[in-house]
This record gives sequence, C-alpha cells and structure tokens, in this order.
Amino acid sequence: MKWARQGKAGIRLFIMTVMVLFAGSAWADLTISISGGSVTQIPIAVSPFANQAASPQPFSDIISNDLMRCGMFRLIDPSGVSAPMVQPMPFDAWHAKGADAWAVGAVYPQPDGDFSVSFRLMDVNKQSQITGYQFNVAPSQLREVAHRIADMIYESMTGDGGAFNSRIAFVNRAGHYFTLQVADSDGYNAHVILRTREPILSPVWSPHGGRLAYVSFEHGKAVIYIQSLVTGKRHRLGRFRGLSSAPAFSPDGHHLCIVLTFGSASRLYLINDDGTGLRPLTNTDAIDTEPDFSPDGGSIIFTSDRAGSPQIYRMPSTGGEAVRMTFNGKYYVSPRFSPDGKNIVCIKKVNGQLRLTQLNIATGQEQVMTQASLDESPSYSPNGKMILFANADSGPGRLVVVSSNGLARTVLQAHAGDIRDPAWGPLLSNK
Amino acid sequence: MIKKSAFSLLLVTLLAACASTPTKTATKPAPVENMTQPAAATTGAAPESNTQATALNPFMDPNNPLSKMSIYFDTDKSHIKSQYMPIISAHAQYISSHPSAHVRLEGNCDERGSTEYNLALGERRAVAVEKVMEADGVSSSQLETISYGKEKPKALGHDEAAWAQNRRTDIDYLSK
Repeated sequence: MKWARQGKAGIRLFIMTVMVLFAGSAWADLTISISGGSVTQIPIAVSPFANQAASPQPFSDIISNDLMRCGMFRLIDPSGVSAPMVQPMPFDAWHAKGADAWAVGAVYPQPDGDFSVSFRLMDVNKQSQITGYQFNVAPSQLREVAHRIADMIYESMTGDGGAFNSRIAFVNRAGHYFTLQVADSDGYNAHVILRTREPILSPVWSPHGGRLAYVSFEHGKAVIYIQSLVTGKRHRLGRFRGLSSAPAFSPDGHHLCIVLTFGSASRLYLINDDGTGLRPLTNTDAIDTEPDFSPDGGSIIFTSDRAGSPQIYRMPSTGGEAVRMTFNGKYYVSPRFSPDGKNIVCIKKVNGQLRLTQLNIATGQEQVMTQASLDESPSYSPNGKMILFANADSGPGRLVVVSSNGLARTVLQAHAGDIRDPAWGPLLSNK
Repeated sequence: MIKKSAFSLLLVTLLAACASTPTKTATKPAPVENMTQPAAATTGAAPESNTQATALNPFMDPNNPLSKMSIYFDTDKSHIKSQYMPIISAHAQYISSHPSAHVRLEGNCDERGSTEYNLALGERRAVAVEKVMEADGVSSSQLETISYGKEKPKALGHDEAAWAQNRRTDIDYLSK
C-alpha cells in the first residue's frame, strides 16, 4: 500500500469538482448502537466521501460506525453541510452542529484500476487541519483503508492507538454445517477458513495473527488444530487419549497452554506448537480449563472449580501454585487478559444470568457490563478499549461489541446462523 | 408409526387365527409402546428378527432398566443422583456378562455457560458414570468416555425443560 502524508505546510489542492453525496447507510441498519451521553465523548462529524457512492465501499459509514463502536465519540449527523476538501470550509456550520472535529474525504478510481483515497481531519474550533493522508490502493484493500482512517482519527483525537484495522474470528452454525470464519473487526468481509459437519470451538489467534488454533470434532471427539491463515495448511496438535481443547498461544507464539483429560479430569498442559514437549501445569481432580497467558507471558489465568464452583485463578506460566482471583460470586468463567495486563474480562453468573464482567486486577473491583442472560466468550480489542463477545438472549448467537468505558453497545452485522466463540485478533500490519 | 401398529394388529389377528401354526414373519408379536427415549440409535431400532415371539429385547422393554439409556444431572453438577444408580447397575451387569459389549459414555451439558467449561463438565459427567460401572465390576476395556459439551443438544428449546434434557450422559452401545 502506498501513501503520502499531506502535512499542514504542503497541502495538495484538489482541482476538481467535489460532489457532495449524502448517500444513506449502505446496508440495512443491522447495527444497533446505544451511546451514552457522557461529556467525555468527542463530538465528531464524518461527511460522506466525495464519490463514495460510486466506489466499492461506503467510507464514511465504515468510519462512522468504527468511531461509534468504541464509545469515545458522539457522531454528529453530517447531512445538510457541504463537504469540500479545500477552503473555504463550512466551520461555522459544523460549530453550530456541535462538532469539535470533522472528517472529510474523497475516493477516485485511477487509470490502472487502483483507487486514490484521501481524507482530512479538521479541528472545527481552530479551523485547521489535525491530520490528513492519501492512499493509492487496490479495490480489495479499500475496506482496510477505511479502518486505517478510523484508526488515524482515533489516535489523533484520543492519543491512544486505534484497533479498527484488525480482524475477528468466530464460529457460525447454519443448518448442518459449522464454519470457522475470519472477518473485519466490524463483522463484515467474512471469509470461511474451515467448513465441517461437526462442531468447531474455541478459535484463538496467534500473537501476530498468522495462525488460528481451534478445536474440531471432525474426528468424533475434541481435537486441537493449528491452521495457517497465510497458506491454509494445518496440523493436528498432538494425539492424546481423551479430549484436547481450550488452546491459548503464548505471547511469543511458540507454545500453547491446552486442556487434556486422558479420559479423566480436565487439566492444563504446556505444549510446543509442533506438538512436542508436553508438560503438565495443574494436577487437581477438579476442572481446570480456559487458560489465557498474560501479555508479558509470565502468568496464566484460567477457570477452575477446585473450590466447588468455577472461579478464576492465576498461576505462573512455568507452573506452580494457583491463586484465586474472584470472590464476589459463585460462578466465573472465560477469563481473558486486557492487552495492558491490568484488567480481566470474564463471564459472571449474576442471579442466574450470565453477564460480561470486567475485573480490575489490582483493586479487585468488578464492573458488570450488560444486563443480558446469555453472554459468552469475551475478548478484548488489541488496544483494550473494546470487548467482543457473543450473546444468545434472542435465540441464535449474535456478535456484540461493548466499549470498555461502557458507553457503547453494538450488535455486529447479523450473519444468518448461530454465531459462537468470537475472538478478537491482533492489529493488521500497517506496512 | 401408523403402519407399524396396523401391521402389528394384522399380525396379532393372524396369530389368533392360526394358533397352532407359528408365524415366520419377523416382527414383534405385540404392539410396542411409543418410545420417547433419546437418540440411542445404536441400541438397534430394528428388532431382533429371529427371536421367538415371547422374548422381548430388554433394551426395548420399557419395564427393563436397560431401556433407559440416559443419566440426567442437575445444573453444573456431575454427581449421580440415587434414582439413576439402579439403571447404571443394570447396564453394568449386562456389560460385565457380555464380553463383546463395548459402551461409549457420552457426556452432555445444557446450552448455558462457556463452551470449554461445558466440554469439561460433560467429560466429568461421562467419567462419573464410568466410575460407577467400574466399581460395579465392569472392565475398563469395555468402556470409553467422550464429551460433547453443549454442542449436541437433544432438546432445542431455551428453557429449563429443554436444559434438563440436555444435562445428561448417554449410554451408547457400540456393540452388544
């Protein structure tokens, strides 16, 4: 992907007629967003990009939905205000609408089949540019460019790294088939990685996003596979009596923590990613499962019911004593570390209802994030600002994203079928 | 089902008419109760064709504990409730006395809760039944366990009635 930065000092003038098109949402409104009215949300407007209705992707919709989903922005309706890429710009109109920032862009096909995409993020109050970029990309990369622009806007306005240019994995059950799919972080652009007639479970990403480990029942019982997303090739991780499941990659990607039963209790083991070097980590007769490595690789959190009901524990990743972390309820499962290692997201049973819950590791303080009944399988975005999970309250499983600050909750594009076990992958390379 | 009942009725009529002549037709001599037991297809829905008219397949006899192929559990639990012990014992007795019998114990969970915890809980429910059978003297070489977690529900509803049906270990005869 080629891009050139347009600095404040050297702004290229676009000598063309900017056609302002106010195309509506390009897809039926399958995303439901509930934004809180907190004063900490930045009011921003994203105008439809010039010529976007004639291009393969609805840029302003993709960007707006990304910004809305993270809970840090309050989207201002752009309709009724012109969107020129060059001065004079209608700052007074944006100010009257309450916007602090405004993004404007254009997309044009090139003679060689590529597209030129440019955008400028403007400070409405200072009436000056915050940032601006121009890309030349193939049509297949246009969606990624929209997510990258959303990340640039996010970083410029919040000072934190964005996470929109990333992918998610999930399992979809439709009819007699199970598919393992990988999609953009907004749920669109899904590709099928595996399709079987038997259940697929628990996909997890390798640290750099090149591989998925998952559990498959295609041999009749639960078995772990590691599959390359680059080559499509996969190998079975070991051959063990009993079930193999709940894989988790170490941060260096060279080994995994998994669950084996050998026909008896579910226990944690370490294993190299080529299937060699099996080493036990736990040895109780309770259920130990759902391991997850800390970002620094030094510890593993997991679910165990050794105290009588499932709770979350932490142990050194080299083995050793496990310390209990949850004391405020009878049932906690599915723990995952935040990328900064300071929080855990999990599912807690509250009055019989299974609800997404965050736990601050240092203070022990809990935050129940939903009022649902059947939340499951949570994971953080690469910047820790959003949480992806599945919810089955209305029957078939749906993918949901809540912002970590609790202000936004979005149901991702509804795929037909019953969606389970989502997992948020790492940032895509920006090279 | 209608066809089956009608045929059975016909057969009963024929038997009555030809009391001294045994029929050679290979079906049950009396109408069979409507079976609502779970998908234990491997127990053989097809009746044993060459049995005498009076010997009923014990696995199909609703009065015989061997016809009960599922052990049910409370929510999040894997301990065997006392009402199921006679059923497990009956199967254990059969397996012990039939060296060719091989049984797979399949643990299942209802749809609530995490995929992986349920996979482990299903395994524990299968192992719980296995342990009782082994304590009853069954050789471990005739038993195997597997867990389907919540992935293969028998009842597809989203209420306690459905969930109760799915919290179970199935006794699956791979061979008798």
